[in-house]
Amino acid sequence: MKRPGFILTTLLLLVALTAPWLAPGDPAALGPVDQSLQPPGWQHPLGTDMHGRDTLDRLIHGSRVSLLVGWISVTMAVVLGTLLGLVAGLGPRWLDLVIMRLTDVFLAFPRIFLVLLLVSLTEPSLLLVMGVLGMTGWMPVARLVRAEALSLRQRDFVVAARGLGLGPVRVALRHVLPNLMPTVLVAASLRVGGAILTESFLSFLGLGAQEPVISWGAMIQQGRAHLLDAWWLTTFPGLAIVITVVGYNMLGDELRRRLDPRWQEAAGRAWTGGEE
Amino acid sequence: MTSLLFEIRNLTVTLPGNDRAVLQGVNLALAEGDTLALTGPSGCGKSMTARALCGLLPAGARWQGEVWWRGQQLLEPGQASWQAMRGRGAAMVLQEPASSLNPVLRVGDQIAESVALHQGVGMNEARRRAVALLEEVQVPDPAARARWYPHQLSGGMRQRVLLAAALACNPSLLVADEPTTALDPTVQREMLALVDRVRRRRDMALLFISHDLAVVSLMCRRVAFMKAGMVHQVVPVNSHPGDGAILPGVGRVQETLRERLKARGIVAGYGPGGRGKITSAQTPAVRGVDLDLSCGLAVGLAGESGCGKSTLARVLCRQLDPWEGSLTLDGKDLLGARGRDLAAGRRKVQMVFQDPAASLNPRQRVVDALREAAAGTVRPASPEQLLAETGLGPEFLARYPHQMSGGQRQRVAVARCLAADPAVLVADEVTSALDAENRRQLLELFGDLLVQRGIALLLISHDLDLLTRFCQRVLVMKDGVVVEDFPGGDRSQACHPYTRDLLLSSPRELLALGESWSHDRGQGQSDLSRPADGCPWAQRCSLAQPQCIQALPGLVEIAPGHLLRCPEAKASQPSHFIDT
Repeated sequence: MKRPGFILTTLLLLVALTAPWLAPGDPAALGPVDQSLQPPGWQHPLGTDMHGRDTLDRLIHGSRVSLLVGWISVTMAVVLGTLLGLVAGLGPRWLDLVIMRLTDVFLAFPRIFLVLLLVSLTEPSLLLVMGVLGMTGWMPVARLVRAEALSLRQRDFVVAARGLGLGPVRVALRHVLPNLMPTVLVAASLRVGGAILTESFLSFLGLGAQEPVISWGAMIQQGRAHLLDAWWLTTFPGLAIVITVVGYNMLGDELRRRLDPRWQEAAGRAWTGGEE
Repeated sequence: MTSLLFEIRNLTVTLPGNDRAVLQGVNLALAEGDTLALTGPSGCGKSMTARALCGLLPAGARWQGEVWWRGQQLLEPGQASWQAMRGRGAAMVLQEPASSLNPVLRVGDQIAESVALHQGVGMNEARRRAVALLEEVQVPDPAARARWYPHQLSGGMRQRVLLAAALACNPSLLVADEPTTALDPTVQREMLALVDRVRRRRDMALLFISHDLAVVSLMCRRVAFMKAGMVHQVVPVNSHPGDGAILPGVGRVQETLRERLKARGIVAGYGPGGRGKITSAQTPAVRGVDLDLSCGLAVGLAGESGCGKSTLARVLCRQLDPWEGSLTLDGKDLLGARGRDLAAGRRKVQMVFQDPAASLNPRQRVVDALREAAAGTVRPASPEQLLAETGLGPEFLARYPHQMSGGQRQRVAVARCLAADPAVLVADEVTSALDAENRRQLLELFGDLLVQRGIALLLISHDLDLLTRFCQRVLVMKDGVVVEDFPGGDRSQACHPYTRDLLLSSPRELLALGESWSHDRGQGQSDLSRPADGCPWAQRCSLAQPQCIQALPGLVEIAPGHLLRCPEAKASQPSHFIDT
């Protein structure tokens, strides 16, 4: 068990992919009336809600929404951030200035207020949440990529590539981008957890996924009314969120350790010492 | 016979994550007050032997064998006997002075810390002794320098501070691990002489590690040759074969030379100046250099770090826009070129970098790198052909940079340059990261390229000794100006005082001086103030006249193909140089 983050996130992905087989039937359909608000037991391991629906089934289906939102919004943020960061780091100075000031402006707004504003301007929907999360998450990635690109452009192999007369696009895509992929991947996996958390938060406020789409945040919101007499309605979705976020954060750290050459170098230097 | 100081018997060291032992049964012994050198190619286990001796093996390393110190066997590292030995007996001076000093502590306090620990005195007394130690290692104005931070000191001064800290415990053995490799030749000479004098005065034993045989021969009585974790032989220094004689020599100059790259009045630097906007506050790194590179001709460019040689190289490769000057290739202007013309111009002037590990994309296979580089030529050479030309087989095509050795990587880097079918190769300190054998092979490769491809080569190095042997013409730079431009091969012609100082600083020249090499020669005879516009060497020049600091002397042709920027040196006779 050397890579708990990798194992945890893979399991979550498998659950989300096989949800229709793991929990057959429509998770939004109302259950029998006499089954409402059952505590955890043999028939319903995690209990039922006020409409008699199985909490475990709903959790399994909710994982699809959480992961979808996490992955898609982070992919958008990373692609946008990488693109802008590359242009800022390798492009002309004036473009760098423009992009970085734009980044500062975006960062100056508290993200959560920006999200609330954008979501409340229109009808809440999952698609909107994903888009908004993507549009407001690119700034840290852009900064990271720009910093990395600035140091890579000074490296001899990039100078050599320019010396061979290669165009700026080719230098950026073939020589700079592959070498900053580890950084980007680590940043991305660390941000997935944050995106899932934000989606849950928005759904909890009723601004995210709408019935009949199930989301963990929405489940907590619905269970809030029964906080005292049906603890399982809020506790288990909450636990699911915690486990997922922790899993992705651990995955990020594990990826960093595997991919970041500075980590490997540091480990290598401790071994080979001052030779050469 | 004097008593043994230390003895290593059959020492084997294995590092974690590596099955092959880095040391495989090393046997070494040194008597009190004696000197021993460890030499060999990089990765042969020189440093590891020294670290094992001092009980400073990396964490997780496993070792077998015996280490005896003054008749007492040292057992596990970390034991009290080791710590006492480290403090009282052995002190280390390492290669990289910048990383061996703590940047946030004053240098005097860092030495005083060691003094207080080993001599058991209070901090005030320790500070006083630290100043005395700085004086012993000839730091000028030691009381004031003790209050400086490491970043305020030059590399040579930092190395002196490290030596002073090492001397704090009155060691009976000084272990010096490549202490001068990172230093410029003149600073290296001073540092070596200092270590030698201090050693004699204190009657210390010395274990000196260096890949440079000439340096080793200066410092030690005996030399141990290591290879692949084993000591092959231990011999007196005067009985080993030299390594310098096998360098490829100067090629013959062809009668008619086609001029390719022509640079005139190059002024270049960094900072927010830009072309044609020089403010008085900015000092350019290159201050008006003329340079011609011709087909099949190797030109050497020598100078100490910071003299502007790498800046000039970047200008020639069109990586840096000069502030002033002109640059033409085959008569065509290179500076005004934009877009496609610029790309084509850059391809014609290719740079080989100092560190082959850094100049290859770590995520690109050799074949992809070569194919990419060749793509712009009219008739692209095949990757196999290019590798063959640099002496590598086709099995290297599918390799990534980390799967090759330093010498092989440097060959791939050269092959990639050749893929662009260049007119000019600029090689910036390419030999300094390589050991003697790889250096010789790379120079042979350059020699072949000069003859077969008729390439124009600019070889940049701080090693003037090497340049005078390999190049047909040698330029010496100091503070951004060329002070002398003389034909290679015949070093006795060099007559600028700075050039002579550089030549005399080479360990091979020092060897010829015999026993007296480490005698203090005295520095900076002239009392002239810092020259603003004058000759950059005037302050330390024995021939300096008052007018030397007022205006920069002109570059005058004193013989065919020999330009000199010193009106005083013309008259004086060049001193004797050993003939090699």
